[in-house]
Amino acid sequence: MSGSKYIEIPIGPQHPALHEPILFRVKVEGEKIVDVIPSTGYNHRGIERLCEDNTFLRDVFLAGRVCGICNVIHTTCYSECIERVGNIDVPPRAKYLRTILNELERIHSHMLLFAILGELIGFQTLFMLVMRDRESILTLKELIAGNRIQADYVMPGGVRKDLTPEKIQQIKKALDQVRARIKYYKKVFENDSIIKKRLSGVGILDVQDVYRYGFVGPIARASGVKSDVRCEDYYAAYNDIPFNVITRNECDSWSRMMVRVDELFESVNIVEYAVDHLPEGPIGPKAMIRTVKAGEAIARVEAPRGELVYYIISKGGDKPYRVKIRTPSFNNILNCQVMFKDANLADLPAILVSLDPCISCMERLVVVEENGRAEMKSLVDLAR
Amino acid sequence: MVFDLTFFFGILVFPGLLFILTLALLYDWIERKMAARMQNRMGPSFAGPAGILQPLADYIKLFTKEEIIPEGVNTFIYTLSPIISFSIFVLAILFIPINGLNVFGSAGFEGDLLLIFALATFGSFTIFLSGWSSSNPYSEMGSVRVLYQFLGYDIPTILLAISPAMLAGSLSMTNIVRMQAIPFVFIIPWVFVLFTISMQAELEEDPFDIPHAGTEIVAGYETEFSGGKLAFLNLTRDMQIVFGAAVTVTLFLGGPLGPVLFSPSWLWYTLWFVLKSILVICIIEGIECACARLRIDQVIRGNWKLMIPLSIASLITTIVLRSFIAFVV
Repeated sequence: MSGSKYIEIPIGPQHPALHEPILFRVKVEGEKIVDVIPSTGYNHRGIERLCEDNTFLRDVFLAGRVCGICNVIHTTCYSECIERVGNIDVPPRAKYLRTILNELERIHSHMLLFAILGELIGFQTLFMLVMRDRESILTLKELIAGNRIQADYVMPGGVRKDLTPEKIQQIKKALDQVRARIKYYKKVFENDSIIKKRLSGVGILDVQDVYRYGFVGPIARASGVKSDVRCEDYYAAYNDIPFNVITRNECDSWSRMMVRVDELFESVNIVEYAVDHLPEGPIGPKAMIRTVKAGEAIARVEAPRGELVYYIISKGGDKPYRVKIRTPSFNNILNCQVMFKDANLADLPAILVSLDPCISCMERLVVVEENGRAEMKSLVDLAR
Repeated sequence: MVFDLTFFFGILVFPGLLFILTLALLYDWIERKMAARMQNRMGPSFAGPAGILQPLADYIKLFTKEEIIPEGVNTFIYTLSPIISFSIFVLAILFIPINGLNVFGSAGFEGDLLLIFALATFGSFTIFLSGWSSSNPYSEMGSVRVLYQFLGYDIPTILLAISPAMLAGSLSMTNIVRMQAIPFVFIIPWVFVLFTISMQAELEEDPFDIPHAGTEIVAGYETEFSGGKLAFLNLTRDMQIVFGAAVTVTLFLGGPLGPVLFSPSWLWYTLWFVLKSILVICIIEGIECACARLRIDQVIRGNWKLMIPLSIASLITTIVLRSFIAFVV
């Protein structure tokens, strides 16, 4: 309709649908979404700059704090990158332990997302029950690493704690229970008519858009793009462990959720395989690695939300010259407006949750110097 | 006019305002406790035994809070609409025979069933006004959704409420109750099921929890309200639930009828009425906990394409059933 007036509804920076601050300026006509403009900058912490000021060893803990949910994965990626710069060998047992923790983290991250999905589509019971079942994974993480969430487990050259046979038995027992619960939730997602009504056919993302905007992770896989760093690149012990890459072809919010549900089964299998085939040997170098020789390297790992990239330049000594972090949410969130075509306002939370938004890890500030004049570029411009 | 103490006692204390308020708080607590148990939580447990005073504590807290009137609101409607909507629902409940008679001590009049539904519709409209006057995009979206949903679902609700009246041959609630030696839920169970669904929509419970869908439009029409006004809006919501339960009990579960073991009989009538409405509350809350929220367009499509034809069909079957019963008896 020409001449009709739109209402602009701000979703954020503080809003019940968001758990971290970001602003989506949503233009609606009645209940129909006309346009969505993401705008960032509420959660910038300057971690890349901090990394340059601190030593290689202390940066491990900074990397772990980029994202609370996937901290083991961030430290894994950072350590892999340091090891590539310094040609440091990692003992095979440490590689397997890294794999176990990475997959446990993927399980609890995906389960958290199911809980948030329940909350966002008004299904409180799902939220409460998933959060209860997720707790057993966090207990496992505490058992292995010493902490429920912020593990600080992975170090350059190895890991910090070893597994005992008794702990392996506990892990297996807990994983059996979790697998049974995931089966139940899969049934819920497949059979609950209201969940299907809310999610299927919503937020369509076709394959061309995945390539054009560079979506990564489960979002790309739900549109039929078989992209998974775990089998494309070598890190941790993934090249020794058999697993499937889950893809679906429905391209909607529901299929993004189902990809994650099926990935949970794969993750549980990977952890079980890893604890069964755990090699003997040391778990890390005798002394902490404090200095890294000059050089540069790039490392990629598969975070729960997609491909995570660390790029580190070292000029020798104990401090990095540059640490560049590129998180999966960066692409997935900033390009999300392609999914809101013809969506209803009520679809917005359902689409947003299927992207697994993690705002604090994607906040970057970029200053571009042009003709001697410094100019801040918005992230949205850069992501395109 | 003679100052009649019992009349004022009836209106203000029992079975009037105070009793209804107590019921509202009790049902609020039952809802919260039941939802918590279904979700593997504890629920309210500190204020009073098993947390039964928690709703009261919440209202006291709200009434002591600062009230903020944002700039640019229509102050007159904004201030008045929470109180008016609350009063309208209380007035509607006063007509329902709780202890055998209604609050005014009479047996009601022919047509009070229509009156309470008219009052409920008007109450919903004042809820719409409260959101519309607060000049906030979330409130506007929320209040428009209230209108969509209530105007749509009022039609099947009233059509379905006609069925018991048809069976009883009267539009007076006292007469409908009197005819229910066998509660109507056993005679026309399909109408009861449909009525429960449309009540779910009238009470804004999941899966029809759309007008205040938190993750889309924050608190819907309540967004700009604070302090006492918010307390009155919340009380309105509790009153709506009492109203819904009371109407369902009156129309389908035989109202206050039940075995009377010893006198006074009004005590037993009240007890049966409360027990039956707790049953209804449990059904409502069970559906609420087991469902996710639908989308507004799905709800409206479901109303016009499914609920209204079904309620018309059930009305026709009830008419046929009634002529059949009249023919046999």
